[in-house]
Amino acid sequence: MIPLRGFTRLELPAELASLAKVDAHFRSLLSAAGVATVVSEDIVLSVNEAMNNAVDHGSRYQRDLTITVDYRLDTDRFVLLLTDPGGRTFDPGYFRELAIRKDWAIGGRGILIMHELMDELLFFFIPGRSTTVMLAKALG
Amino acid sequence: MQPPAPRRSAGSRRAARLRERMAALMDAVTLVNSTLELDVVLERIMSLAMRLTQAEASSILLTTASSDELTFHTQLGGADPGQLRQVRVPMDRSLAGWVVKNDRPLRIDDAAADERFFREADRTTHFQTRSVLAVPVKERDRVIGTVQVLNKSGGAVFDEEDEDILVAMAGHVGTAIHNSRTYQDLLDEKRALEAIVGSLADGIVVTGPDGELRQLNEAARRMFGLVEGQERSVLLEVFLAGLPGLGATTSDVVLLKPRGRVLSVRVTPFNSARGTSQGLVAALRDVTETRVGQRRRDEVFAAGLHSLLHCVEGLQASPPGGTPDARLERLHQDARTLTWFSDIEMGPVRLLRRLSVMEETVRSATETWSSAAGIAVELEVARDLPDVYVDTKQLTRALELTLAACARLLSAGGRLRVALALEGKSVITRLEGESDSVELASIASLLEERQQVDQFLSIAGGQIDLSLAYARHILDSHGATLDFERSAGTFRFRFAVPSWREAS
Repeated sequence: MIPLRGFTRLELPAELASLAKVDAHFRSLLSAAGVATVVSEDIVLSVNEAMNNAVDHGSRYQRDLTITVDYRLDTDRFVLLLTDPGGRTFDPGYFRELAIRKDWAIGGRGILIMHELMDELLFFFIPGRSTTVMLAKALG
Repeated sequence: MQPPAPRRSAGSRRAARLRERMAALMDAVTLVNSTLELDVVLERIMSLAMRLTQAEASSILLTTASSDELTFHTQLGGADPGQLRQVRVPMDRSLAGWVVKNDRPLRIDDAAADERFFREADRTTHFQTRSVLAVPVKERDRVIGTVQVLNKSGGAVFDEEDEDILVAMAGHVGTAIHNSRTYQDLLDEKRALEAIVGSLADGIVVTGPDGELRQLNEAARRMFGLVEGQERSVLLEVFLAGLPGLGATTSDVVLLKPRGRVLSVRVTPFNSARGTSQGLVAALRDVTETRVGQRRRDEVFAAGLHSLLHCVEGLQASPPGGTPDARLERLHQDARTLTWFSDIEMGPVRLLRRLSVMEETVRSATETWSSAAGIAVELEVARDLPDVYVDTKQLTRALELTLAACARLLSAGGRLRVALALEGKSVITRLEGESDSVELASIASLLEERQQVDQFLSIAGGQIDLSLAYARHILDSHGATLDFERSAGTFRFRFAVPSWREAS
């Protein structure tokens, strides 16, 4: 994924510590920008889910791999692209539906959470090379 | 009172004419390369030709599609161009036709006296042609018409020098026509291509060498949800940013929200004739219905198999009549194999990871297996092994499946050597022993395949066994690997699980 104009890029190793860093980064960013808590919590929760998927399923906690986060915070909209280099394809629609029906065990609801909390949700698969998830939400 | 200008000699007049001629030819070259507006170029070239040859009128006649007539394309001086455009000049009864057919220049001092002279043009326009100089116009090597100048001023006649000038000008006319026709052909092809691309049901996105958007057809606009007048969206920008990474592969873009569509994308790079990159063409097909149908089939298949396996396991636990049944065991194996196949195809195993000690997991699994199978185990563990972040239940399952394979492979009375060590950033577990089993060869040969299921697939007694394939699937879901090696009567399974931290 080539960098997009106007986006800020973070690069993090595929490890648990990166989850906390991303959480702290976006909490601080959205708070400083004056984004309403009800909106910023939706965003942070969704970003955390996307990051967790990238570190766990995408990169299998291989610290040598790098997760790339590109984001843009406009006055009316937040857009984030999160790319892991795992290149493992899956059917996000299936996992969203599964999470609706699922009543066993914990976990497995990340895609459903992102789908419910964000305005736009896109997955871009390059088999064997990368998976990018795009999250977008209006701030109004 | 000013003194009279000195009279110029014949030599200096010739030199001046030569300079003017050279300058005019240079102008003509510049003109041909300055614009693709053919009418403008031709009128200016013919204007130059008239001035240099001191003619009252000039015209360009081009052959028609049937090649038996000529029509006036450009006309300067003398008659009304509108009148001449209606005139059709026969190829076999005109001075212009003679020039085209013979591919030679023609100088006539008194046109009216020449039987080849086509009088209809003069009658139509009320112009009186006296002297004529005409030369062929060629597009590449093909004669396509003539340029002609009429009536040398002052009642003089055209000479050899005039002919040289007109021949040079005719060359530029031919080049200008060729350039214009080539450009027109390209424009026509471009328009045809745009019409085809525009009418396709598949979306087409064309980018330039720097990734800039060049073309987006109507189907692609719909797929990206662009409304009338909207040229860009974040979604489209994200797509364009991801395109260069796709290469010549087919991949999926899932627009989960707001539209819930799945696009299959195929990207083709295209190069110039010189081999430099010109950009990418991406063809997008909406495969939502196909993918949803496929998902439904997979779900029904998986749910049915798990239900079948559950029933068979229940029957095995309390067989009808109270006695074990070989057919029931076979049914159980088949149901389990199909369930493994379905699970592998459905994607990674869902893991509930926690930090754990690999030695504990391996020791527990091998001790249970050893006492059940009656096979001795030698366990060797390196010191200070780092923890692993795994789902211990799933990892134990993978070990159990692999140990079951070891039981089949080990020679009678053989023992299993289990060793744990750190290699690089992975905790390695080796299971090795001696074997004289024929299955040893089949496992090794199947290892050469690199597909999702068949790497650890084995066929024994005509029955497909996916137990090792499923063990590998569990490890793959952890980012770990399972390999198999053999050499002269020995075998070795090797688990490599990423460590949580480097060893102290």
